[in-house]
Amino acid sequence: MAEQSIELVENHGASLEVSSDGYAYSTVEAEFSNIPETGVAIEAQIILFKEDTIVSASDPADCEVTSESPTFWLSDTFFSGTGQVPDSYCVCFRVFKPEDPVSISAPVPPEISRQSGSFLIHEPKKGFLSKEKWNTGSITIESVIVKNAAGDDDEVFINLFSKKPLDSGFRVQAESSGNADETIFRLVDKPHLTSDYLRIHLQEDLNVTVTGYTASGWSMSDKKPFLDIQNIEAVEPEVDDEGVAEEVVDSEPESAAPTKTKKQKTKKSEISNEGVNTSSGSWFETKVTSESYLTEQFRMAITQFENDGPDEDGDVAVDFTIEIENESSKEISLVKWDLIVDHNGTSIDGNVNNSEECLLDKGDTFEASSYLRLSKAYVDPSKPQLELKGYAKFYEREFLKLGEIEIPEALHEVVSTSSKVKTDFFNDEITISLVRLPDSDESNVKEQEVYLKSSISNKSDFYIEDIEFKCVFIDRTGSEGDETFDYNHALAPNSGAFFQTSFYSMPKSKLKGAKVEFFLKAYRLVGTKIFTDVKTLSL
Amino acid sequence: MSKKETIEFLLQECEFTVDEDGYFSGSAHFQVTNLPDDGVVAQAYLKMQKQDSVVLVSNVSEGRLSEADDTLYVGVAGMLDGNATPDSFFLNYRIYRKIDSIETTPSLPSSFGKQSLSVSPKGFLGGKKWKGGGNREISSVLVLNDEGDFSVSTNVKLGKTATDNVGLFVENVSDGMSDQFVLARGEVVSIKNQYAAGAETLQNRLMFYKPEKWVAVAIRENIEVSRN
Repeated sequence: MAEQSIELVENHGASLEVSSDGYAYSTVEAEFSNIPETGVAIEAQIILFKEDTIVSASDPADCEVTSESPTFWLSDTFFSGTGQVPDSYCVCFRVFKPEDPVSISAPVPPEISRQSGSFLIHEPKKGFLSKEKWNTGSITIESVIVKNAAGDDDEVFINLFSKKPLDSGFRVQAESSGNADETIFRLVDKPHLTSDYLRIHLQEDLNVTVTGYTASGWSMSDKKPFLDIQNIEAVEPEVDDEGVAEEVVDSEPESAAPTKTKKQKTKKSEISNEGVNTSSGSWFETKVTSESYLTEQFRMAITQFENDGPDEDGDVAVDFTIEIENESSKEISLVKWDLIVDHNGTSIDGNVNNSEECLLDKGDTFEASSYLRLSKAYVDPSKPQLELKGYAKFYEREFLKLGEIEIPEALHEVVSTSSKVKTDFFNDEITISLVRLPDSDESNVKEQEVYLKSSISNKSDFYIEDIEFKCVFIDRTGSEGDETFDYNHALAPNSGAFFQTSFYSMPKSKLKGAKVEFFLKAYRLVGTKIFTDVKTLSL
Repeated sequence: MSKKETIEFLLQECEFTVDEDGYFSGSAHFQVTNLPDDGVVAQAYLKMQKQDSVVLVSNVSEGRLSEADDTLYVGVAGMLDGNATPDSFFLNYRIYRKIDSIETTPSLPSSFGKQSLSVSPKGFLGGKKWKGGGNREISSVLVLNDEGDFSVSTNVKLGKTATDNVGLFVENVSDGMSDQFVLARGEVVSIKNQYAAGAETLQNRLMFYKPEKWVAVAIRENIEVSRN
């Protein structure tokens, strides 16, 4: 049978990253073979071993796979410390095979004047002796609920019964006169279930198709070693109350990747000992130098410099490209740069305040192109040499997931979540509050507002820049919707910032069952580069 | 008659509303009677009906019930109005009963930031001591010294209960007690980063609860749905 031949054939990109603060991040791209044309759903977990001892396992997750897209990414994170770094893994999985779908033609209720729309319950027909059955595998559809509202807010969902909860799943598709929507695969976790809602603009004919899935037993792959083990970004050791740095240890046993040098470790300890004393009422004395910013190495050059003109106005257009190589040990996520043009001993133009996000590992090259327009009044044709001064700043990034909050049903109810985060930059616990309020326009009763507030403090001894507090709205089907941000340009050491933002004009129906996910992104300057070059204009 | 046979869910109160957008919501509050002395774990959901038609099913609520805390709330919400507004509801519930327990005494890390890994000691004949019935076993216990307190991660092989949605209570007894309940399926479950107060000793106890069959009870034949 087809489901028996579905096998885990390859684990691409199985990798393990071990951070020096003790966390192991493992990912496996599991590829399956012999997937039928209909596709299947897979529920899987990875199990991590240190020698023959299980040290962690991910929660089971599910995913639909097809012959065109036969892979499933699995991941797990746990605190491995220095002695429990996993050396191998296996994938545990089961296959949900689709059964013959059931197709249901449902009538569409007429539009009525009621704000909430009109509803229709569509059920199998009952005869004298028997009842029509809407079955797909072990799943029986008990009813289809159709809501026809004015405008495009029509909705369809089903109620079902499963004889085999936890061993069955389903997906629903609905189509009406060319408009269609569908749910993703969902495991049936109890005998009765209401599906997610399908949003569809109802016209004349409505057809609902439900596909049930039946699970196989669990299978476990052979144990395989992690071949790609990397040590990632070092985290400075924390300072205890007496200001004594903790022991610094590397997670190095299985790694072929470069590890930190003794010299670097010593330097980190020194930095920590000089770190911020955040005790109440104390003064923070800023460092006199920014020596630590200058330790990183970058190679920078102008690789293209071409000019046209002068044009009819006498202006000279210059196209140029700069190239920067990350020779540092840091992963660079942001480059800010300025180019100043001097001529005859004075500055005549500049291309400044450029900021570009990137992701540069050691040895990677960043390239940026731009242009200048030099006024003829400033250019002496008899001395066409320009002295170019470039200033570049290089940043590492910290990205934190701060959890989520379900939007409460009630107005004026303040709910909050606190996330413990591993961070070099901020306080270790970040709290976010959310409240749902009526629309500012009191006459607008159909829409409401959601307010989000949080604060952070900079626990480090360096400036943190471009801090972005991002909130992503997730509706009840799990689909990402609007995003909103608050932003802080720069936060000095030993100082704090307050963020607040909101979602305006949210339809009440959209808020039902929805949640908001939170993220924090920030940058720290890790190095600067100043260079000069002389280029000659072709005039 | 044993208490096991007579557990009952008594409706204390329920209320349901529908707003002008057709958003139906409500909850029912049950007192569970005749609980055994060591308590039970219960799961429940509501099946809302309009006459004989199923119109909405709630998510599952769950709780550890004892004579000291014998109430369970179940909430329900969805888009329903007009002639699909529910007029009755069923309670569907199932009870989890303790079938097994395994106790471990993991080694403790000596200094801040260190983590210990403990595996099952073996008996005279080489068998693992951290083993229960049905091939259930605790594979390992990791204890991190998190600034003097413990962060405990327990890795459990579920054996024959791998597909049962088995309930697991993990209790850590040190200077005080902390516990956590999870529903698990799959071959292995990791119960990660459970807090335990720092102490000289730590006992890690894992209790397995197996679900019984779901039971459906007609609760109310005529409910009132208010409008706001």
